Amino acid sequence: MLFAVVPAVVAIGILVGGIVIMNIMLMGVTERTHEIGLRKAMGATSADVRRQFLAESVALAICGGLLGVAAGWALAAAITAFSPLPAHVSLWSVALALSLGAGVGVLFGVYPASRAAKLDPITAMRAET
Amino acid sequence: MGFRVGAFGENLLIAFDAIRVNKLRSSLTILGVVIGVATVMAMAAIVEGIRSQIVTTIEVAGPTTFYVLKKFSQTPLNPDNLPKEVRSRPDISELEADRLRRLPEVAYASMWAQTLARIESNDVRSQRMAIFGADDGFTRIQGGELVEGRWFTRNELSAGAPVVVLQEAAARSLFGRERMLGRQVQVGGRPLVVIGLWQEPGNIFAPPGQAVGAVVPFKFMERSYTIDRTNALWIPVKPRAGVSVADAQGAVVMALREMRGLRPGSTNSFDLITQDQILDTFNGFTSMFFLVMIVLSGVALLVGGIGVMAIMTVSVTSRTREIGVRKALGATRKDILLQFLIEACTLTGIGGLIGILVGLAMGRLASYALDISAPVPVSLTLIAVVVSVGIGIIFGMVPARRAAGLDPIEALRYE
Repeated sequence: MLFAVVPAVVAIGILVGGIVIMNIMLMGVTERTHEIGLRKAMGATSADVRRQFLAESVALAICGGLLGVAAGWALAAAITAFSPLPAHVSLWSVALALSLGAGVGVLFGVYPASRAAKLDPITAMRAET
Repeated sequence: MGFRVGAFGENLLIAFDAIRVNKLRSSLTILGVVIGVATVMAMAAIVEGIRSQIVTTIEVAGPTTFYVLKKFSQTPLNPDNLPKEVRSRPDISELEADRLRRLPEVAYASMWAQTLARIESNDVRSQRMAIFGADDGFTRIQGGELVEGRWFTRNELSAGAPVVVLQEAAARSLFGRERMLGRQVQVGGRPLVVIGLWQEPGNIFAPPGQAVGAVVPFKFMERSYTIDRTNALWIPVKPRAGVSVADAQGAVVMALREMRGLRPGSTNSFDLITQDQILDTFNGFTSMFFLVMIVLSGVALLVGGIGVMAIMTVSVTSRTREIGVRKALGATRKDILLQFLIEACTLTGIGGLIGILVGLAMGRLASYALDISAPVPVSLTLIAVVVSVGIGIIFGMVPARRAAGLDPIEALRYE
Protein backbone atom coordinates (compact mmCIF):
# COMPACT_ATOMS: atom_id res chain seq x y z
CA MET A 1 0.00 0.00 0.00
CA LEU A 2 2.71 2.37 1.07
CA PHE A 3 4.85 1.60 -1.94
CA ALA A 4 2.00 2.35 -4.32
CA VAL A 5 2.56 5.98 -3.36
CA VAL A 6 5.94 6.13 -5.11
CA PRO A 7 4.74 5.63 -8.72
CA ALA A 8 1.83 7.98 -7.97
CA VAL A 9 4.27 10.70 -6.95
CA VAL A 10 6.36 10.06 -10.06
CA ALA A 11 3.23 10.36 -12.20
CA ILE A 12 2.43 13.70 -10.56
CA GLY A 13 5.93 14.97 -11.40
CA ILE A 14 5.45 13.95 -15.03
CA LEU A 15 2.02 15.61 -15.09
CA VAL A 16 3.52 18.92 -13.93
CA GLY A 17 6.25 18.56 -16.57
CA GLY A 18 3.55 18.04 -19.18
CA ILE A 19 1.72 21.17 -18.04
CA VAL A 20 4.95 23.16 -18.41
CA ILE A 21 5.38 21.83 -21.96
CA MET A 22 1.80 22.74 -22.82
CA ASN A 23 2.28 26.21 -21.42
CA ILE A 24 5.45 26.83 -23.40
CA MET A 25 3.87 25.48 -26.58
CA LEU A 26 0.83 27.71 -26.12
CA MET A 27 3.11 30.72 -25.81
CA GLY A 28 5.05 29.52 -28.83
CA VAL A 29 1.81 29.46 -30.83
CA THR A 30 0.90 32.98 -29.70
CA GLU A 31 4.34 34.32 -30.49
CA ARG A 32 4.42 32.71 -33.90
CA THR A 33 0.93 33.61 -34.98
CA HIS A 34 2.34 35.63 -37.86
CA GLU A 35 4.54 32.72 -38.98
CA ILE A 36 1.55 30.36 -38.87
CA GLY A 37 -0.48 32.80 -40.96
CA LEU A 38 2.35 33.00 -43.49
CA ARG A 39 2.61 29.20 -43.69
CA LYS A 40 -1.10 28.85 -44.20
CA ALA A 41 -1.09 31.58 -46.84
CA MET A 42 1.66 29.70 -48.65
CA GLY A 43 -0.54 26.60 -48.82
CA ALA A 44 0.05 24.72 -45.57
CA THR A 45 -3.08 22.87 -44.47
CA SER A 46 -4.38 22.81 -40.90
CA ALA A 47 -3.08 19.25 -40.64
CA ASP A 48 0.41 20.44 -41.66
CA VAL A 49 0.43 23.10 -38.94
CA ARG A 50 -0.90 20.66 -36.37
CA ARG A 51 1.78 18.14 -37.28
CA GLN A 52 4.46 20.82 -37.05
CA PHE A 53 3.55 21.83 -33.52
CA LEU A 54 2.97 18.26 -32.34
CA ALA A 55 6.38 17.28 -33.69
CA GLU A 56 7.88 20.22 -31.84
CA SER A 57 6.37 19.28 -28.48
CA VAL A 58 7.29 15.63 -28.93
CA ALA A 59 10.84 16.66 -29.81
CA LEU A 60 10.96 18.79 -26.67
CA ALA A 61 9.62 15.95 -24.55
CA ILE A 62 12.02 13.39 -26.01
CA CYS A 63 14.96 15.73 -25.40
CA GLY A 64 13.77 15.97 -21.81
CA GLY A 65 13.38 12.20 -21.66
CA LEU A 66 16.94 11.61 -22.92
CA LEU A 67 18.40 14.10 -20.45
CA GLY A 68 16.25 12.50 -17.75
CA VAL A 69 17.58 9.03 -18.57
CA ALA A 70 21.15 10.37 -18.39
CA ALA A 71 20.45 12.09 -15.06
CA GLY A 72 18.70 8.99 -13.70
CA TRP A 73 21.61 6.81 -14.76
CA ALA A 74 24.07 9.14 -13.03
CA LEU A 75 21.89 9.17 -9.91
CA ALA A 76 21.73 5.36 -9.85
CA ALA A 77 25.51 5.21 -10.23
CA ALA A 78 25.89 7.67 -7.37
CA ILE A 79 23.53 5.61 -5.18
CA THR A 80 25.49 2.46 -5.92
CA ALA A 81 28.73 4.24 -5.09
CA PHE A 82 27.66 5.99 -1.88
CA SER A 83 25.06 3.70 -0.34
CA PRO A 84 24.77 -0.06 0.25
CA LEU A 85 21.83 -0.29 -2.19
CA PRO A 86 22.73 -1.87 -5.51
CA ALA A 87 20.74 0.50 -7.74
CA HIS A 88 20.89 -0.39 -11.39
CA VAL A 89 19.28 0.93 -14.54
CA SER A 90 17.59 -1.74 -16.61
CA LEU A 91 16.81 -1.54 -20.30
CA TRP A 92 13.07 -1.58 -19.73
CA SER A 93 13.24 1.41 -17.42
CA VAL A 94 15.07 3.39 -20.11
CA ALA A 95 12.45 2.34 -22.66
CA LEU A 96 9.67 3.24 -20.22
CA ALA A 97 11.18 6.66 -19.52
CA LEU A 98 11.60 7.50 -23.20
CA SER A 99 8.13 6.35 -24.19
CA LEU A 100 6.68 8.23 -21.21
CA GLY A 101 8.51 11.34 -22.39
CA ALA A 102 7.21 10.99 -25.96
CA GLY A 103 3.72 10.21 -24.64
CA VAL A 104 3.71 13.35 -22.50
CA GLY A 105 4.82 15.36 -25.54
CA VAL A 106 1.91 14.06 -27.62
CA LEU A 107 -0.67 14.34 -24.84
CA PHE A 108 0.16 17.89 -23.82
CA GLY A 109 1.02 19.02 -27.36
CA VAL A 110 -2.42 18.22 -28.80
CA TYR A 111 -4.18 21.27 -27.41
CA PRO A 112 -1.60 23.92 -28.45
CA ALA A 113 -1.19 22.23 -31.87
CA SER A 114 -4.93 22.23 -32.54
CA ARG A 115 -5.08 25.87 -31.48
CA ALA A 116 -2.36 26.69 -33.98
CA ALA A 117 -4.08 24.65 -36.68
CA LYS A 118 -7.39 26.43 -36.16
CA LEU A 119 -5.91 29.92 -36.67
CA ASP A 120 -7.46 31.91 -39.51
CA PRO A 121 -4.62 32.76 -41.95
CA ILE A 122 -5.88 36.30 -42.62
CA THR A 123 -6.15 37.33 -38.96
CA ALA A 124 -2.91 35.48 -38.22
CA MET A 125 -1.04 37.39 -40.94
CA ARG A 126 -2.34 40.63 -39.51
CA ALA A 127 -0.94 39.80 -36.05
CA GLU A 128 2.22 41.67 -35.09
CA THR A 129 5.41 39.66 -34.97
CA MET B 1 9.48 54.20 4.04
CA GLY B 2 6.02 55.17 2.85
CA PHE B 3 7.36 55.28 -0.67
CA ARG B 4 8.76 51.73 -0.41
CA VAL B 5 5.44 50.31 0.75
CA GLY B 6 3.71 52.20 -2.03
CA ALA B 7 6.15 50.79 -4.58
CA PHE B 8 5.56 47.28 -3.29
CA GLY B 9 1.79 47.70 -3.52
CA GLU B 10 2.10 49.07 -7.04
CA ASN B 11 4.30 46.14 -8.05
CA LEU B 12 1.70 43.77 -6.67
CA LEU B 13 -1.00 45.50 -8.73
CA ILE B 14 1.16 45.24 -11.86
CA ALA B 15 1.68 41.55 -11.10
CA PHE B 16 -2.06 40.91 -10.80
CA ASP B 17 -2.59 42.83 -14.05
CA ALA B 18 -0.03 40.71 -15.84
CA ILE B 19 -1.70 37.57 -14.52
CA ARG B 20 -5.14 38.77 -15.60
CA VAL B 21 -3.97 39.66 -19.10
CA ASN B 22 -2.39 36.23 -19.65
CA LYS B 23 -5.08 34.14 -18.02
CA LEU B 24 -4.34 30.77 -19.63
CA ARG B 25 -0.59 31.02 -19.35
CA SER B 26 -0.72 32.19 -15.73
CA SER B 27 -3.28 29.65 -14.62
CA LEU B 28 -1.26 26.80 -16.14
CA THR B 29 1.84 28.04 -14.34
CA ILE B 30 -0.09 28.34 -11.09
CA LEU B 31 -1.51 24.85 -11.67
CA GLY B 32 2.00 23.44 -11.77
CA VAL B 33 2.82 25.04 -8.41
CA VAL B 34 -0.55 23.95 -6.98
CA ILE B 35 0.11 20.32 -7.86
CA GLY B 36 3.62 20.49 -6.46
CA VAL B 37 2.61 22.08 -3.15
CA ALA B 38 -0.43 19.83 -2.79
CA THR B 39 1.67 16.69 -3.34
CA VAL B 40 4.20 17.67 -0.71
CA MET B 41 1.45 18.63 1.74
CA ALA B 42 -0.49 15.42 1.25
CA MET B 43 2.67 13.33 1.50
CA ALA B 44 3.73 15.07 4.68
CA ALA B 45 0.26 14.52 6.15
CA ILE B 46 0.34 10.82 5.25
CA VAL B 47 3.82 10.39 6.65
CA GLU B 48 2.78 12.15 9.85
CA GLY B 49 -0.28 9.92 10.09
CA ILE B 50 1.69 6.72 9.59
CA ARG B 51 4.21 7.84 12.17
CA SER B 52 1.60 8.42 14.86
CA GLN B 53 0.02 5.11 13.86
CA ILE B 54 3.25 3.27 14.47
CA VAL B 55 3.63 4.87 17.86
CA THR B 56 0.13 3.87 18.95
CA THR B 57 0.61 0.38 17.53
CA ILE B 58 3.80 -0.15 19.47
CA GLU B 59 2.26 1.28 22.60
CA VAL B 60 -0.59 -1.26 22.41
CA ALA B 61 1.66 -3.68 24.23
CA GLY B 62 1.67 -1.29 27.17
CA PRO B 63 4.53 1.00 27.98
CA THR B 64 5.77 -1.34 30.71
CA THR B 65 6.29 -4.46 28.59
CA PHE B 66 9.90 -5.25 27.77
CA TYR B 67 11.58 -8.04 25.85
CA VAL B 68 14.45 -10.42 26.57
CA LEU B 69 16.37 -11.58 23.51
CA LYS B 70 19.74 -12.91 22.48
CA LYS B 71 21.01 -9.75 20.86
CA PHE B 72 19.33 -6.44 20.19
CA SER B 73 20.39 -4.86 16.94
CA GLN B 74 18.94 -2.21 14.65
CA THR B 75 18.81 -4.55 11.68
CA PRO B 76 18.30 -8.33 11.72
CA LEU B 77 21.58 -10.19 12.11
CA ASN B 78 22.66 -12.74 9.52
CA PRO B 79 22.37 -16.04 11.47
CA ASP B 80 25.11 -17.65 9.35
CA ASN B 81 27.62 -14.91 10.01
CA LEU B 82 27.23 -13.70 13.58
CA PRO B 83 29.68 -11.44 15.34
CA LYS B 84 31.86 -13.39 17.77
CA GLU B 85 30.32 -11.92 20.92
CA VAL B 86 26.88 -12.97 19.73
CA ARG B 87 27.93 -16.47 18.68
CA SER B 88 29.14 -17.22 22.19
CA ARG B 89 25.77 -16.28 23.66
CA PRO B 90 23.39 -19.15 24.42
CA ASP B 91 19.93 -19.12 22.80
CA ILE B 92 17.04 -17.91 24.92
CA SER B 93 15.39 -21.05 26.32
CA GLU B 94 11.96 -22.07 27.56
CA LEU B 95 13.45 -22.93 30.92
CA GLU B 96 14.43 -19.32 31.32
CA ALA B 97 10.96 -18.13 30.35
CA ASP B 98 9.44 -20.46 32.98
CA ARG B 99 11.80 -19.13 35.61
CA LEU B 100 10.97 -15.50 34.76
CA ARG B 101 7.26 -16.21 34.93
CA ARG B 102 7.63 -17.36 38.54
CA LEU B 103 9.33 -14.12 39.63
CA PRO B 104 7.15 -12.12 42.03
CA GLU B 105 7.77 -8.92 40.03
CA VAL B 106 6.53 -10.43 36.78
CA ALA B 107 2.90 -10.76 35.67
CA TYR B 108 3.57 -12.42 32.33
CA ALA B 109 6.60 -13.97 30.67
CA SER B 110 6.63 -16.60 27.98
CA MET B 111 8.62 -17.93 25.09
CA TRP B 112 7.68 -16.42 21.73
CA ALA B 113 8.97 -16.97 18.22
CA GLN B 114 8.14 -15.71 14.77
CA THR B 115 8.53 -17.01 11.26
CA LEU B 116 7.20 -16.18 7.81
CA ALA B 117 4.88 -18.64 6.07
CA ARG B 118 1.89 -18.92 3.77
CA ILE B 119 -1.56 -19.97 4.95
CA GLU B 120 -3.40 -22.24 2.54
CA SER B 121 -6.50 -24.35 2.31
CA ASN B 122 -7.55 -26.40 -0.72
CA ASP B 123 -6.64 -24.04 -3.54
CA VAL B 124 -6.52 -20.65 -1.78
CA ARG B 125 -3.11 -19.43 -0.74
CA SER B 126 -2.04 -16.31 1.14
CA GLN B 127 1.02 -14.11 0.88
CA ARG B 128 3.87 -14.88 3.25
CA MET B 129 2.71 -13.57 6.60
CA ALA B 130 4.16 -13.36 10.07
CA ILE B 131 3.30 -16.50 12.05
CA PHE B 132 3.76 -16.26 15.81
CA GLY B 133 4.57 -19.11 18.13
CA ALA B 134 3.21 -18.02 21.51
CA ASP B 135 0.79 -19.03 24.22
CA ASP B 136 -2.68 -18.13 25.47
CA GLY B 137 -1.40 -14.75 26.72
CA PHE B 138 -0.92 -13.48 23.17
CA THR B 139 -3.39 -10.58 23.45
CA ARG B 140 -1.83 -9.40 26.72
CA ILE B 141 1.21 -8.33 24.71
CA GLN B 142 -0.08 -7.81 21.17
CA GLY B 143 -3.48 -6.31 22.03
CA GLY B 144 -6.57 -6.98 19.95
CA GLU B 145 -9.12 -9.58 20.99
CA LEU B 146 -10.39 -13.06 20.31
CA VAL B 147 -13.60 -12.66 18.29
CA GLU B 148 -14.48 -16.31 17.84
CA GLY B 149 -13.46 -19.64 19.33
CA ARG B 150 -10.86 -19.99 22.08
CA TRP B 151 -7.13 -19.77 22.83
CA PHE B 152 -4.85 -22.78 23.37
CA THR B 153 -5.43 -25.00 26.39
CA ARG B 154 -2.65 -25.96 28.83
CA ASN B 155 -2.47 -29.40 27.28
CA GLU B 156 -2.28 -28.09 23.73
CA LEU B 157 0.52 -25.75 24.78
CA SER B 158 2.61 -28.34 26.57
CA ALA B 159 2.09 -30.93 23.83
CA GLY B 160 2.56 -28.45 20.99
CA ALA B 161 -0.73 -29.54 19.45
CA PRO B 162 -1.36 -28.68 15.77
CA VAL B 163 -3.95 -25.97 16.42
CA VAL B 164 -4.00 -22.41 15.17
CA VAL B 165 -5.66 -19.06 15.91
CA LEU B 166 -5.99 -17.15 12.66
CA GLN B 167 -5.89 -13.39 12.31
CA GLU B 168 -9.47 -12.48 11.45
CA ALA B 169 -8.87 -10.16 8.48
CA ALA B 170 -6.37 -12.58 6.92
CA ALA B 171 -8.78 -15.49 7.39
CA ARG B 172 -11.66 -13.51 5.88
CA SER B 173 -9.66 -12.47 2.84
CA LEU B 174 -8.73 -16.11 2.29
CA PHE B 175 -11.94 -17.92 3.05
CA GLY B 176 -14.62 -15.24 2.93
CA ARG B 177 -17.59 -15.62 5.24
CA GLU B 178 -17.25 -19.39 5.61
CA ARG B 179 -17.27 -20.81 9.10
CA MET B 180 -13.66 -21.18 10.15
CA LEU B 181 -13.69 -23.00 13.49
CA GLY B 182 -12.80 -26.66 13.25
CA ARG B 183 -11.54 -26.33 9.68
CA GLN B 184 -8.20 -27.61 8.61
CA VAL B 185 -5.70 -25.17 7.08
CA GLN B 186 -2.07 -25.48 6.18
CA VAL B 187 0.41 -23.04 7.58
CA GLY B 188 3.84 -23.30 6.02
CA GLY B 189 2.84 -26.72 4.66
CA ARG B 190 1.78 -28.16 8.05
CA PRO B 191 -1.85 -29.15 8.62
CA LEU B 192 -3.48 -27.35 11.57
CA VAL B 193 -6.97 -27.12 13.03
CA VAL B 194 -8.45 -23.63 13.41
CA ILE B 195 -9.64 -23.07 16.98
CA GLY B 196 -10.06 -19.31 17.11
CA LEU B 197 -10.08 -15.99 15.29
CA TRP B 198 -8.05 -13.10 16.64
CA GLN B 199 -8.77 -9.52 15.66
CA GLU B 200 -5.84 -7.15 15.42
CA PRO B 201 -5.99 -3.98 17.50
CA GLY B 202 -7.72 -1.23 15.51
CA ASN B 203 -5.83 1.04 13.17
CA ILE B 204 -2.72 -1.06 13.09
CA PHE B 205 -0.03 -0.04 10.65
CA ALA B 206 1.44 -3.07 8.96
CA PRO B 207 4.42 -2.66 6.67
CA PRO B 208 4.19 -4.92 3.58
CA GLY B 209 4.96 -8.56 4.31
CA GLN B 210 4.72 -8.03 8.05
CA ALA B 211 1.01 -8.57 8.59
CA VAL B 212 0.31 -11.11 11.33
CA GLY B 213 -1.38 -14.16 9.81
CA ALA B 214 -1.70 -16.72 12.57
CA VAL B 215 -0.67 -17.77 16.06
CA VAL B 216 0.31 -21.36 16.91
CA PRO B 217 1.48 -22.90 20.22
CA PHE B 218 5.17 -22.13 20.72
CA LYS B 219 6.08 -25.81 21.09
CA PHE B 220 4.46 -26.60 17.76
CA MET B 221 6.39 -23.84 16.06
CA GLU B 222 9.66 -24.94 17.57
CA ARG B 223 9.09 -28.52 16.41
CA SER B 224 7.65 -27.91 12.96
CA TYR B 225 9.34 -24.85 11.51
CA THR B 226 12.85 -23.58 11.22
CA ILE B 227 13.17 -20.58 13.51
CA ASP B 228 15.85 -17.95 13.32
CA ARG B 229 16.96 -18.46 16.93
CA THR B 230 18.97 -15.26 16.99
CA ASN B 231 16.49 -12.71 15.67
CA ALA B 232 13.07 -14.28 16.02
CA LEU B 233 13.12 -15.82 19.48
CA TRP B 234 12.30 -13.69 22.51
CA ILE B 235 10.56 -13.49 25.89
CA PRO B 236 8.06 -10.67 26.35
CA VAL B 237 7.90 -9.70 30.03
CA LYS B 238 5.05 -7.75 31.58
CA PRO B 239 5.73 -6.50 35.13
CA ARG B 240 3.09 -7.01 37.78
CA ALA B 241 0.88 -3.96 38.47
CA GLY B 242 2.59 -1.63 40.94
CA VAL B 243 6.09 -2.86 40.07
CA SER B 244 8.25 -0.35 38.22
CA VAL B 245 9.83 -1.34 34.90
CA ALA B 246 13.29 -0.78 36.38
CA ASP B 247 12.61 -3.11 39.33
CA ALA B 248 11.20 -5.80 37.07
CA GLN B 249 14.16 -5.50 34.71
CA GLY B 250 16.52 -5.78 37.65
CA ALA B 251 14.83 -8.96 38.85
CA VAL B 252 14.88 -10.44 35.33
CA VAL B 253 18.58 -9.68 34.86
CA MET B 254 19.41 -11.19 38.27
CA ALA B 255 17.45 -14.36 37.57
CA LEU B 256 18.93 -14.87 34.10
CA ARG B 257 22.51 -14.22 35.27
CA GLU B 258 22.04 -16.72 38.06
CA MET B 259 20.65 -19.36 35.68
CA ARG B 260 23.47 -18.83 33.22
CA GLY B 261 26.09 -18.82 35.97
CA LEU B 262 27.59 -15.49 34.99
CA ARG B 263 30.33 -14.19 37.31
CA PRO B 264 29.87 -10.80 38.89
CA GLY B 265 31.42 -8.17 36.66
CA SER B 266 31.02 -10.12 33.42
CA THR B 267 28.66 -8.72 30.82
CA ASN B 268 25.13 -10.04 30.26
CA SER B 269 24.87 -12.75 27.63
CA PHE B 270 21.40 -11.49 26.64
CA ASP B 271 19.74 -8.14 25.91
CA LEU B 272 16.70 -6.39 27.34
CA ILE B 273 14.81 -3.89 25.23
CA THR B 274 12.01 -1.59 26.25
CA GLN B 275 9.22 -0.05 24.21
CA ASP B 276 11.14 3.22 24.05
CA GLN B 277 14.11 1.50 22.45
CA ILE B 278 11.87 -0.21 19.92
CA LEU B 279 10.30 3.14 19.08
CA ASP B 280 13.71 4.74 18.66
CA THR B 281 14.85 1.94 16.38
CA PHE B 282 11.69 2.17 14.38
CA ASN B 283 11.99 5.93 14.04
CA GLY B 284 15.59 5.64 12.89
CA PHE B 285 14.60 2.95 10.44
CA THR B 286 11.63 4.74 8.93
CA SER B 287 12.70 8.39 9.01
CA MET B 288 15.08 7.75 6.10
CA PHE B 289 12.28 6.16 4.11
CA PHE B 290 9.92 9.02 4.94
CA LEU B 291 12.53 11.59 3.99
CA VAL B 292 12.89 9.92 0.60
CA MET B 293 9.11 10.04 0.13
CA ILE B 294 8.93 13.75 0.88
CA VAL B 295 11.95 14.58 -1.28
CA LEU B 296 10.39 12.57 -4.09
CA SER B 297 7.15 14.51 -3.81
CA GLY B 298 9.23 17.69 -3.88
CA VAL B 299 10.24 16.83 -7.45
CA ALA B 300 6.82 17.95 -8.69
CA LEU B 301 7.33 21.26 -6.88
CA LEU B 302 10.74 21.64 -8.52
CA VAL B 303 9.26 21.04 -11.96
CA GLY B 304 6.54 23.59 -11.16
CA GLY B 305 9.25 26.08 -10.22
CA ILE B 306 11.03 25.50 -13.53
CA GLY B 307 7.69 26.22 -15.21
CA VAL B 308 7.56 29.56 -13.37
CA MET B 309 11.06 30.35 -14.57
CA ALA B 310 10.19 29.54 -18.17
CA ILE B 311 7.07 31.72 -18.09
CA MET B 312 8.87 34.61 -16.45
CA THR B 313 11.66 34.44 -19.03
CA VAL B 314 9.15 34.62 -21.85
CA SER B 315 7.30 37.38 -20.03
CA VAL B 316 10.51 39.43 -19.80
CA THR B 317 11.20 38.97 -23.51
CA SER B 318 7.71 39.97 -24.58
CA ARG B 319 7.77 43.01 -22.30
CA THR B 320 11.19 44.25 -23.36
CA ARG B 321 9.70 47.49 -24.69
CA GLU B 322 7.78 48.08 -21.49
CA ILE B 323 10.98 47.63 -19.50
CA GLY B 324 12.73 50.09 -21.81
CA VAL B 325 10.03 52.70 -21.25
CA ARG B 326 10.16 52.22 -17.50
CA LYS B 327 13.90 52.62 -17.44
CA ALA B 328 13.74 55.66 -19.70
CA LEU B 329 11.27 57.21 -17.25
CA GLY B 330 13.70 56.73 -14.37
CA ALA B 331 13.13 53.19 -13.00
CA THR B 332 16.33 51.82 -11.47
CA ARG B 333 17.68 48.26 -11.89
CA LYS B 334 16.36 47.49 -8.42
CA ASP B 335 12.84 48.62 -9.33
CA ILE B 336 12.72 46.36 -12.38
CA LEU B 337 14.21 43.43 -10.44
CA LEU B 338 11.63 43.88 -7.71
CA GLN B 339 8.79 44.15 -10.21
CA PHE B 340 9.54 40.79 -11.81
CA LEU B 341 10.40 39.07 -8.54
CA ILE B 342 7.08 40.16 -7.10
CA GLU B 343 5.31 38.91 -10.20
CA ALA B 344 6.97 35.50 -9.86
CA CYS B 345 6.18 35.37 -6.14
CA THR B 346 2.57 36.32 -6.79
CA LEU B 347 2.27 33.39 -9.21
CA THR B 348 3.81 30.91 -6.78
CA GLY B 349 2.07 32.44 -3.77
CA ILE B 350 -1.36 31.98 -5.35
CA GLY B 351 -0.30 28.47 -6.36
CA GLY B 352 0.87 27.80 -2.82
CA LEU B 353 -2.38 28.93 -1.23
CA ILE B 354 -4.54 26.85 -3.56
CA GLY B 355 -2.06 23.98 -3.17
CA ILE B 356 -2.49 24.03 0.59
CA LEU B 357 -6.26 23.70 0.25
CA VAL B 358 -5.92 20.88 -2.29
CA GLY B 359 -3.23 19.23 -0.18
CA LEU B 360 -5.42 19.34 2.90
CA ALA B 361 -8.26 17.73 0.97
CA MET B 362 -5.92 15.10 -0.47
CA GLY B 363 -4.51 14.32 2.97
CA ARG B 364 -8.03 13.92 4.30
CA LEU B 365 -8.90 11.61 1.41
CA ALA B 366 -5.75 9.55 1.83
CA SER B 367 -6.41 9.15 5.53
CA TYR B 368 -9.80 7.64 4.70
CA ALA B 369 -8.31 5.39 2.01
CA LEU B 370 -5.41 4.17 4.16
CA ASP B 371 -7.54 4.11 7.30
CA ILE B 372 -5.11 6.23 9.30
CA SER B 373 -5.46 9.63 10.89
CA ALA B 374 -3.46 12.15 8.86
CA PRO B 375 -3.49 15.44 10.71
CA VAL B 376 -1.89 18.40 8.96
CA PRO B 377 0.06 20.41 11.49
CA VAL B 378 -0.40 24.18 11.30
CA SER B 379 3.34 24.63 11.05
CA LEU B 380 3.27 22.64 7.84
CA THR B 381 0.89 25.04 6.10
CA LEU B 382 3.10 27.96 7.17
CA ILE B 383 6.11 26.16 5.76
CA ALA B 384 4.19 25.53 2.52
CA VAL B 385 3.46 29.25 2.12
CA VAL B 386 7.06 30.21 2.82
CA VAL B 387 8.37 27.53 0.48
CA SER B 388 6.09 28.52 -2.40
CA VAL B 389 7.03 32.20 -2.11
CA GLY B 390 10.66 31.13 -1.79
CA ILE B 391 10.32 29.14 -5.02
CA GLY B 392 9.07 32.32 -6.67
CA ILE B 393 12.19 34.18 -5.52
CA ILE B 394 14.60 31.41 -6.51
CA PHE B 395 13.15 30.68 -9.93
CA GLY B 396 12.16 34.30 -10.57
CA MET B 397 15.68 35.56 -9.90
CA VAL B 398 17.24 34.64 -13.25
CA PRO B 399 14.50 36.20 -15.44
CA ALA B 400 14.23 39.24 -13.14
CA ARG B 401 17.98 39.85 -13.32
CA ARG B 402 17.78 39.55 -17.07
CA ALA B 403 15.04 42.16 -17.15
CA ALA B 404 16.94 44.44 -14.77
CA GLY B 405 20.11 44.15 -16.83
CA LEU B 406 18.46 45.26 -20.09
CA ASP B 407 19.95 48.34 -21.74
CA PRO B 408 17.12 50.95 -21.94
CA ILE B 409 18.15 52.14 -25.41
CA GLU B 410 18.27 48.62 -26.86
CA ALA B 411 15.06 47.72 -25.06
CA LEU B 412 13.19 50.71 -26.45
CA ARG B 413 14.34 49.84 -29.98
CA TYR B 414 13.07 46.23 -29.57
CA GLU B 415 9.93 45.41 -31.53
